[in-house]
Amino acid sequence: MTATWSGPLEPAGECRWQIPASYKAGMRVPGIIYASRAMIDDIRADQAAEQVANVAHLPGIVRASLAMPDIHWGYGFPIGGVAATDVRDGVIAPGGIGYDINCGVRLLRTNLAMKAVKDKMETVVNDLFRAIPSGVGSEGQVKLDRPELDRVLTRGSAWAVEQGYGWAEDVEHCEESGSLTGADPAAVSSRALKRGSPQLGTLGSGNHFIEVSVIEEVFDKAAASAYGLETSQVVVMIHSGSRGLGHQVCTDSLEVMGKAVSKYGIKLPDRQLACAPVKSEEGENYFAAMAAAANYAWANRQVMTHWVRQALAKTLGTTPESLGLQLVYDVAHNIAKFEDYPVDGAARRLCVHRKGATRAFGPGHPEIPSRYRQVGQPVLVPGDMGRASYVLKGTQAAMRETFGSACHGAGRVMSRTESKRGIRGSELRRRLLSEGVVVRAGSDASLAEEAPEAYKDVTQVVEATHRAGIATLVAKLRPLGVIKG
Amino acid sequence: MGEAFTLLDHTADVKVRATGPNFGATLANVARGMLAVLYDSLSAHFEFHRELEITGYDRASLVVSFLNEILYTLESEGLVPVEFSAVRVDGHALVTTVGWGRPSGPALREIKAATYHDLKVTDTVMEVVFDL
Repeated sequence: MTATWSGPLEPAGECRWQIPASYKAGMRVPGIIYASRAMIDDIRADQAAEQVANVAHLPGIVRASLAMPDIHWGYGFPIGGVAATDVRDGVIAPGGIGYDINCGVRLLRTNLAMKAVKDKMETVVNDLFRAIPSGVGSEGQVKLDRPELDRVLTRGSAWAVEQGYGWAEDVEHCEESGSLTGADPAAVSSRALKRGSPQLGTLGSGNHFIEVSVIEEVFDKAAASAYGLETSQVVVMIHSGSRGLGHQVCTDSLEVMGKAVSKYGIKLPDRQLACAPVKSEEGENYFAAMAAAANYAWANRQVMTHWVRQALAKTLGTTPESLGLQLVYDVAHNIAKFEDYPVDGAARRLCVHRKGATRAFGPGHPEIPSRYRQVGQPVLVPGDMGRASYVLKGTQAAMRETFGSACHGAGRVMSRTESKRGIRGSELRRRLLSEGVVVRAGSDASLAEEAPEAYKDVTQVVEATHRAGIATLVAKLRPLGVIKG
Repeated sequence: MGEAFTLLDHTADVKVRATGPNFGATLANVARGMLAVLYDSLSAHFEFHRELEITGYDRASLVVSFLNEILYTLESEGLVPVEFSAVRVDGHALVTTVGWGRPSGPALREIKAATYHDLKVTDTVMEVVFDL
């Protein structure tokens, strides 16, 4: 079993725990973990808190190494980690973004009430499973030659919409309008391009999913109304990322960064934190490739959105427009971006790394779509396939404290080997069906690894997030049908 | 001598611990452990040999790059290693010949990459965390 972590966690306010910078030589700032007291035992059960302290070693890190309430043990950064570095003297670390660059979630609303689909979920799930390629090594129906792939990498969601995969307003309802500036296909290796070329419009495997859910409860009517959400409404969530292309970009960059660490004399406690100054050839090349992979991920989710619309409309004998299948929002939760924040009274441009954390901009921010600007950005927090998912909204507290960031999901508590040992996929599928959730998965083994009990209770995660005030509750979603990769 | 490899718990990922009598044999055992994560029971017949040359900047990076090379070959060509032979480490390069084959069924899960996190590399013991 994994060793428990016994370092210092000092109470630092409502649902805030500090690892003092004195904990470990080389920490430049303290660590702050957002969590309720009840979550601390789970957090101490592995080495995630040590990873928060390790991230505090990054040159140029500002204010604190942060972890959201869904913190769990990752590689290099903890999952749920947020670190902002000053672009003038700070670094960019591929490990602070991860292998699945711009893994993210999008939420589609519908005009449907639950009673309209409740008895058809088996068909709905089967049709979606057929329409969207999923599973290990899945390949899509979109064939891309090199010039077309370059356009995907440069333009992201907009490319997909122009090709007919979606509606014009979809682009406005994506973080960064579904296209991160600074992407350069020339910075992406031929290996990454080769892996990406056949995979656009595929879900992938692991924890990726498409879920049909119902809004079970609305906590914040004004925000829900702005987002087009109401109780008993059917919604669809899509969780996927940049597939093999993103994995390869990260793999390639870690080789470069491993050398850069010696070149720039950077001292780190974990090689997976390998990094280079933001303003260096290595740092700039990585950002250009990372942004290209992020755009691939946005295009990927956009293409799948189109197929979800087509499949649902066909199954229900209508059109996507009549179903009101509008995109509520699309958030990235593995990404680094340049954002401006006041630091010690002065405006600073920071490189904000979010590794399993969601951007959560508060009300009034100019980058939030005009329709949502008064209430704050929708923050999409998927849970496990048996219990619930949540929609929250960004707050000013997040802007002040967490570089506009909040939690991204439930966070694992059980390793994949443990969950596979204890749970059989076929039994799990029957159990979920008896609880009103229809599940289709690529394999029983992968299903077992994603069992609800392998995850923290997402309700505990969002309650801690809400109490900390870094994002507040808007609506609770209950799963009806799930497609797992 | 214990098992050639064991799979150890890691909350979000999997760690493979492998042992062997020398660097090349231990490395092959890590690769076998990685394949055991991908396929619960892999069946693949030998098709051909191909020489692999991996470059890195130290032994640890050679190990990570070797494993990532296998993952790349699997995704881009659908091939898995079925036969390992002696490796030659020459400065910052690792050269070996691998026998490749096509698996009879799809992988059960995807590995995004071999990581540097908590990486241990000696001639006789290696531990590698894989991102799933």
